[in-house]
Amino acid sequence: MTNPSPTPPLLELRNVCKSYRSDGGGTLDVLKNVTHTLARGESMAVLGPSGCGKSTLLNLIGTLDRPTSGQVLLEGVDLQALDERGIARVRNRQVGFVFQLHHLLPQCTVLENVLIPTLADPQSRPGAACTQRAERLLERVGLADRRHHRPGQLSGGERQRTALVRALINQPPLLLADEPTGSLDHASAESLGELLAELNREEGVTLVVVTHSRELARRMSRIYKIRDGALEALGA
Amino acid sequence: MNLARYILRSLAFYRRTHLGVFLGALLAAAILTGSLSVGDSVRATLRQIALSRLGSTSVVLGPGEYFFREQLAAQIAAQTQAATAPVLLMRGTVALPDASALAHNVQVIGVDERFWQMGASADLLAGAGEDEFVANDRLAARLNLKPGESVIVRVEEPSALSRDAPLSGAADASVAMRLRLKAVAGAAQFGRFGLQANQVPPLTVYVPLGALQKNIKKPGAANALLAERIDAATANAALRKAWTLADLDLQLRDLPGGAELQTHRVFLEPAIAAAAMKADPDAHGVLTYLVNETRLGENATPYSMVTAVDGMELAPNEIAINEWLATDLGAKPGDELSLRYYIVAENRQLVEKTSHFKVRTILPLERPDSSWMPPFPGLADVENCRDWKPGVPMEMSRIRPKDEAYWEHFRGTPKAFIRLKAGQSIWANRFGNLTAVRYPVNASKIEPALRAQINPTTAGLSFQPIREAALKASEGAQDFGQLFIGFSFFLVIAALLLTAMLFVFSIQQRTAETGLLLALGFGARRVRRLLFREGCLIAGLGVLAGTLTGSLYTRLALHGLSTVWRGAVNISEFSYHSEWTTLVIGGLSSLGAAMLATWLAGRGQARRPAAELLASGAEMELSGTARAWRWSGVAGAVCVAGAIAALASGGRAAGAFFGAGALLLFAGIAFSHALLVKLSRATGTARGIAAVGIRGAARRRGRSLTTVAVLASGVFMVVAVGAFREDPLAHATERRSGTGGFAAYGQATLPVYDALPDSEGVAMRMKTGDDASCLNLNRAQQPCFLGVHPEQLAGRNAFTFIDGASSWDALNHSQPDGAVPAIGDEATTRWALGKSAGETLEYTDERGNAFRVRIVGVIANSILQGSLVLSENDFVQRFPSQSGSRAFLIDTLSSQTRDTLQDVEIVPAWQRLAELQSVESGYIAIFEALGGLGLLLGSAGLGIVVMRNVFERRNELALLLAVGFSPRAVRWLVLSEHWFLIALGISIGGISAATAVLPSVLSPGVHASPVGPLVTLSLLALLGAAWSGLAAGLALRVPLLDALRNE
Repeated sequence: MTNPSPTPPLLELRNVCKSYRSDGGGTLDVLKNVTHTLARGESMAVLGPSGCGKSTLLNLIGTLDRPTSGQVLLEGVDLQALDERGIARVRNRQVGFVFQLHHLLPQCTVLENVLIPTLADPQSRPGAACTQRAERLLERVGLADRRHHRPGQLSGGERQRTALVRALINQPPLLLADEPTGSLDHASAESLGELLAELNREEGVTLVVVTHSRELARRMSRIYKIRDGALEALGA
Repeated sequence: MNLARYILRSLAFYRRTHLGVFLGALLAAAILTGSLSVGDSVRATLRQIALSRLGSTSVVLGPGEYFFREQLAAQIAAQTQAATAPVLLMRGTVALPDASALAHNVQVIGVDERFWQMGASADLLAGAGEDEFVANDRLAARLNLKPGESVIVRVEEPSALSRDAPLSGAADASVAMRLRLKAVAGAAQFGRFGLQANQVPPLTVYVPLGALQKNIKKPGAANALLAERIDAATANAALRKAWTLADLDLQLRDLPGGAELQTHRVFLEPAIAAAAMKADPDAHGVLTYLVNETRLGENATPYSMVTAVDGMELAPNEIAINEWLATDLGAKPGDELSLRYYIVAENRQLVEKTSHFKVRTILPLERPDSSWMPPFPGLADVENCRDWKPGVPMEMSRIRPKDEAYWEHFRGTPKAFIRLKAGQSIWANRFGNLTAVRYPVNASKIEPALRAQINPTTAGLSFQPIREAALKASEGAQDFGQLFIGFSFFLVIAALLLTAMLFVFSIQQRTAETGLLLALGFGARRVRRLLFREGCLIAGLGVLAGTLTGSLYTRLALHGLSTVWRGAVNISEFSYHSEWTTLVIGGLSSLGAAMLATWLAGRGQARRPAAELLASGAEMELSGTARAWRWSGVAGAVCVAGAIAALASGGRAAGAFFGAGALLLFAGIAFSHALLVKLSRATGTARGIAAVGIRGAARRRGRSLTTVAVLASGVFMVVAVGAFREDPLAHATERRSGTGGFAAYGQATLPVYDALPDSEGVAMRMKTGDDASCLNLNRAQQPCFLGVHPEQLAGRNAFTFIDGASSWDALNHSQPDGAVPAIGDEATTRWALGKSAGETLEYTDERGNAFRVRIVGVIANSILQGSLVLSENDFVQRFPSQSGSRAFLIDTLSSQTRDTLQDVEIVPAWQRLAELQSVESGYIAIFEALGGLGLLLGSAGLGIVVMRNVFERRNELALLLAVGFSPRAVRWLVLSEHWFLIALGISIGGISAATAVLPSVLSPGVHASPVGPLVTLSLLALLGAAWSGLAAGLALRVPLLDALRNE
């Protein structure tokens, strides 16, 4: 009788480094040998001053950028090894992204914006199930009656909630949020933070939030800080 | 939600941004489709003109060398049930009675009511008196004629025998008629009637058929017959049944013991003579000639008829003389007589020759028998020797009373006989070698055999499918659709570039959206495809609208062609016409081009990382690698090397220079790219605002490079093509120029028979045909031929052969396959006939026989445009009835030349060259105008670039204001960048264009002034500066500091 193989962590960072070439010909190391794992259903917040590498870390996890060295593994798959199509599939199926600026398409309604990620895969055709899920999620975040509105007709908090629903439409196991409350007023930021925590709890979505807001960070199960390119745990 | 919905949403939301793309595609499609429709319209107009000039005529008999019976028309109509019209078609001049105005080369037509029925609703000559005429509107306008006014119409009195033939009678017989204008015929009244394919109607005088027949002394005759709604085969079959010997000017008469076939043309045409000899096995040929002198020692008898005929026992060098001559000369058998007679040498020069014969026998002279003498004009019909006018110099003083007495009693009874072969060896000429054929049976018996043997169609009397030829010709020598696409090329390119550039701007405005789609899991290719589909949809809508509005461009172009560019086409009114296929082809081509433009514009999108795209609005990074700089430099250097190599190997060939110019253009663009890369890598401190501005050009390298490339290419094309506009006055006196160094060019309506001294010019024969010059839009089916003595042009080294090696002597070299060598002007051979040196063309001579013409030399643009030049010998063989000279290249106009050419329309050679060049000048003017519009559009694009750049950088410009820069300094910063690009583009285009046109500036016959191109360049620079100034002014009018506050 053999032991079943251990389930890999949802996210694993192995000695991830990211550096940029500076004008003077030298290099600027933003992240240095970051090693970290995150299990399914966990949530973590990353704090740190501007320019410390928080967004860079998030972009590396979300495949929007590539590490200089090291590996980023998602559900045990090395993202470095994927081709363009594979990366696109990861972004579409396994990762949901919420940006500080909501980046809603002004030409589409709230519902259409939410459904945009379902169009990414040329092989699959979004059906009624997707629309139903979108409507359910919109209802969940309190935007059911706004689904046919354009982004320009929404408040900042509503836009960001729409962006959150858009990130969840394909049921990704990992949700990445980059300063999600950065452009919101206090009440809206509170509301969104609560929503993120609820989704983490109720939907089992693994959450990585990069933020300046300690209030938001406190809603996550683990809190980290980037200092000198390294990830330091601040507490749980 | 689906992709289509997403695209439609985007289209609707970004409609303002897309409007530019839509308009660009609309413009490109409208120009492309409109250009193609110009071709349709020109073809339709030419077809309309062709049908208008022929009425319902489908086949035509003549006009040729024969005057046949007018009744032939009725006979053929009866056989074929087709309407026919007999016509007398002459060439002439029309002058006002006070000689204040004169029109040359007028078509004078004798017609009856049957003619009008074929092309007009009414007989304009109905009830007209013999002294009345109808003028077509072109002639009426030319002479400013009003009904009731009189003119003098002069036509050549037709001669059965070519006036080039020996003994053809008086040379310059013309008939003048004083006629009163009854009515003016417009296009609807058959006023365009003409048998030659030309969009310009001839100048025409219509006179009652009977009146013209009477005036030219051809009662009951016609020389052309029009028939409608039958084909040529049917018409010719009917002709073969209906024709009589008289229609071929043949007379069959009974003689004692038989019959004789002869002709008023004196010499039986060789094909007819051969057929006539076959009509009876016992037929024998007769050749009677006028001998100037028969001499035995000191005794001489002037002006005697001598007949060459077989049937006597004579050796080739023996002669039988009648007893009158024997007595006059004191000759007896065995004496050797010398016979002096004229033959026609080159240039219609009469040369007197002498032959010797030994007297074999002396024949009794019992009764006169002048039947041997053919109807020599001026001899056969006069009573007295002193009235002889045989068309050769005669010394009347030599005619003695006994000669008069002989003529009185015996008329043209021959005084001597020789063998037929002996006579033919000395008197045969290109008109024939028999004056009669005799038969031992009477006329009524031989006539059926003769009709069976002689085929009128091979003798030169045959119907030709004129309508078919006219419609074929109307297909056009030039495809104006393609021509206009060429003219509008730069305009189309400018519109497409504008489309692409605006599409790029539209995409760049949505960079974050691209980044978002990438972040959401769209593949980069899929994102590009989405953008492409969106672009295609906008472009497609633009193309659809453009295809439908292309007719506006066509109508504008046609308006231009019938007014300001009329010199290029010679048509005053066009009818708009567009085929469905043209719209489909134009629409699909435009769509293809627009899709290509959007694909090229969008292909660079979604290549940057999603995170970077999402962060759009951040400062743009100036990127430029040393590698990019090096590669651009290398590409530029390779192009320069190629240009130098082309110049070194191509000599002074225009193609080499043009190629070198184009390579320099590419080199300039490559160096500009290198310069922009270099600027993007510059690290030194910029000195002054202008330097900062210029460095800004490196920020959007693609945009800046497009601006430079569009301007440089536009300048190159417009300046280079403009420089080909030639000044006909320049070098006009040089032999190698287009004038051939001749002072004047003359064209006669009626042939001139007097020789032009070689020192004063070159006289040429002319067979009128379709004008094969650029002035005729129809494709010449039977071009005009000129006959010339090649040595006259070779001796002068006149004109320039484009291969630099051919010479006029090539006309004398017979071709191994029997083709006739010909030389033509480049515009004639290449454009009007579509042939180059070495190629052959099929034509029909005046007897209906096909012959091939080989182009053995092509001369550069010249006053000989429109015709093919043959050697005199070849010309007279193919067109024996074309007598005298009708075209003249004149060196000097001495008083003698003036007298010789008094009725010839003479124009300075440079003026004729200018007229012929008007088409080319017209084309260049069109190209310049449309190219200029393209540049206007291109420079408007520059304005958009300026506005876009200012918009993108409004924050940093606001910052400059915030830190104390004056608005003027900020404007100067913006302008310096764009004026730098304008200067770069214009310099590159100017330098490469100057290289390309260098040979045209240096070559003989061309005088290209630098003023025009310099004016164009200056205007362009001003225009570009104005556009950018206006755009910068508008863009900077927005309160920039607000932008800073919003940030």
